[in-house]
Amino acid sequence: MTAGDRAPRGSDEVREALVAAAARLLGDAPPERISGRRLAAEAGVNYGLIHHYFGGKEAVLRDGFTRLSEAYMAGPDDGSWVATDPFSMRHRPDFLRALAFASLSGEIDNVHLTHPASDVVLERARRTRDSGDETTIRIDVGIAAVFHLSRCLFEQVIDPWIGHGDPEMSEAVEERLVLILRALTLGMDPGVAAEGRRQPSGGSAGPV
Amino acid sequence: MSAPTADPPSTSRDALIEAAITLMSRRSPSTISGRDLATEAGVNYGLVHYYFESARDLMSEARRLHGAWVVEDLMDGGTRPVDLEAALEDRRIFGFITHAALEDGFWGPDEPRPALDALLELVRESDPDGDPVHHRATVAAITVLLLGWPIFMEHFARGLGLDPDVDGEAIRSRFLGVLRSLYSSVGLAA
Repeated sequence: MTAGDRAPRGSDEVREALVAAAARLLGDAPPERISGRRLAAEAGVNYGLIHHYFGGKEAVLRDGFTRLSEAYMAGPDDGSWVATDPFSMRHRPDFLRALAFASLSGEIDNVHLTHPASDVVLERARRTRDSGDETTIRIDVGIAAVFHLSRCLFEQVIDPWIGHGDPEMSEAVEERLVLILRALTLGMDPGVAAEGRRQPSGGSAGPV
Repeated sequence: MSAPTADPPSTSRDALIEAAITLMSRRSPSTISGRDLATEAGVNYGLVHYYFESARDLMSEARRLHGAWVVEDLMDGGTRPVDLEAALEDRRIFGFITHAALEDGFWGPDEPRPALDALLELVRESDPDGDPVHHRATVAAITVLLLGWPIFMEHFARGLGLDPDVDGEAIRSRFLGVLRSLYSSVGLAA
């Protein structure tokens, strides 16, 4: 809350202020390091109201996660990207960081999270192969989601190295990484994708 | 910094660097104090400021040395890729790099990436006539997968309705298959 704003009042405003504060703080620290007092201060509300409206800070943080997740899945108002785009998570570093902090601290089990492996991606994966059991399809989509998020999370570490000052190389490798992501999602051979060879969809082709 | 006449043994400095790698494997640099580092290293707190400007300076130095440590200790001086099991289990790899990546200003764009360079060199030796785009994409993809797996996989598995206790072996073998496929596309064994 910035100076001059009035403090949130009433159930709706207080709840909204707390969830919005949680969504902001989750990108900066693991959940267990976000205290109720910090949340209250960020929201500009009395500390006691966390317990009153949510029963505890965990529920606020959970709603904060859901807020970040929904914002990512909804995409921006101008439609410049959608969540099913390759590496779309780079547009939501706040959600990405929140996921990474929560995962690293082992505090992720009790929060419900969506991710790029949405129903849409699963459906696409099912359509493109004529065989392959459901478990394998889900595993492949999960591995692809790991690749997607990790590539975005380590962008500042990997990307300068990929291009090493050559924009054409950057672009070419980026295209290749998109191909690899597609191959992983659809259970195709990622090594063939890395070579830049297109693979027909529809088979149960897989690396294993 | 001018060297004092009676240098404390440089092993204290090494111990502090090692302590920084250990602690940053578990926590964000912003939550690690000079005292934490001294305690972990088993050295006097004063030595943190004897060798370094600040705790943050010490951790930056650890970050700079980390890549060389990976190449030296985990890639046998750059003669083989990081062992898969080690990469997936060792927090000093994924935990450290993730915490450093999440911290602003810890990774300058122009700084060397020795571990990526070393893996690329192995790829080039193995596939001398290969396509540089393929080579770089493969190194990037392997790195991204190795770092991302321990952070995200269990969470995604649950989110997808898989049970890591039941499907864990299948998930792992599928994942290792992906890595093998990437390695073998450049003629390397995983």
